[in-house]
Amino acid sequence: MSKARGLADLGNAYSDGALSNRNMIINGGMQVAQRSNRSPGGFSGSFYAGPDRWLVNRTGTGTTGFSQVSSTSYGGTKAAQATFLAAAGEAYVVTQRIEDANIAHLAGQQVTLSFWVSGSSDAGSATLNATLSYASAPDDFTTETTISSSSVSYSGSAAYYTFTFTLPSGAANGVGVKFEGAKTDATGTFTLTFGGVQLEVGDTATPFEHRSYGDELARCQRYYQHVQEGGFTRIGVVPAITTNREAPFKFTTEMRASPSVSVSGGTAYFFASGSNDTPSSSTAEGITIHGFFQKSSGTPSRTAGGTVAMDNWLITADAEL
Amino acid sequence: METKMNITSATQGTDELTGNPSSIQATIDGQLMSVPLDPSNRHYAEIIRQVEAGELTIQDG
Repeated sequence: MSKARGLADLGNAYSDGALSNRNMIINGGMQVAQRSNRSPGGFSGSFYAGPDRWLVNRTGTGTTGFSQVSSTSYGGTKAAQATFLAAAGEAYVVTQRIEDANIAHLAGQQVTLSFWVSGSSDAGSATLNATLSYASAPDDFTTETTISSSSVSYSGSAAYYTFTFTLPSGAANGVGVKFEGAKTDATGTFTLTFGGVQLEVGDTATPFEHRSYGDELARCQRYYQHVQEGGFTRIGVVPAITTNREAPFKFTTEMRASPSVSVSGGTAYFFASGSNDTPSSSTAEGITIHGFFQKSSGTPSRTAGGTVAMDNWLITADAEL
Repeated sequence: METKMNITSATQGTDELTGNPSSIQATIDGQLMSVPLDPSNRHYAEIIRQVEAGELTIQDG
């Protein structure tokens, strides 16, 4: 094969979207949803829910939901749907924060953002801004500087949009990819649905890059891990301090930073005696990016060396930006 | 837009191995979490911000 033919084939492959790892967005196809969907009601402020890696934030007191939904209209088979209840004038932002280690190499270069979006009627307002910003310090999004913002006029049907931005040097601190707007109607429910989000180097949007579920899940687990086992899970042994049940836990993949850990489980079973008890507390100690040590405390005294199992064991580890 | 977290309690834990301060047991948005003393952790950063702003007190464990 000639060099010219090889380059032509490569160009065709690029145009067809066959080259991999172009997309800087993780879970842009909304395939992975380790957390439960969240319905509006009782929630305000900022939160992660539903599709991994998307942070929902809203001013005011109106409640907000965020869910993974099934649809083939947004570049794949899934999409993200934000639901906003009253009140009017409250701003919302749905953001993916890209850590510095994954974006620093693109500082000073052009990047192109592409996505599908639709929205329900909201008193005639049918616009949002697609915005890129950068963090004030490496992976510190406490304050952000807007790079550029482009207005999108959407409708009730999914439509495809692309925008090209130039990343400044500050983008080496990390970049926020945002969909932001405001609910204008004082009452009623407003929904915003989007998916197929891609950020790639260059001034041309290529077809959305479909990655395998396992690949996308592993990328998400750098930021959040949800481990839930039904039935009994053998986790460790009763130590010399026999009111405790202790066990080491290793994360599936190395996490971005030492995560916040929640540990829960129904009943702690102690197999040596065949009896069980409910821990008065379960905490994580010695948390690192690789794992932690679970300690569950309870009143009954057990025999050191006995096997400990947890019923309906649930671990979450959160190292999101 | 300011990112808001609802932190309703925070208690300092002690590492049994070293005797040094370990993670903070905090209730954040209604969920009890063990938060490591790592400035790169967004929950820890927010706890420190709220303590410095006088909005939160870390209790002794």
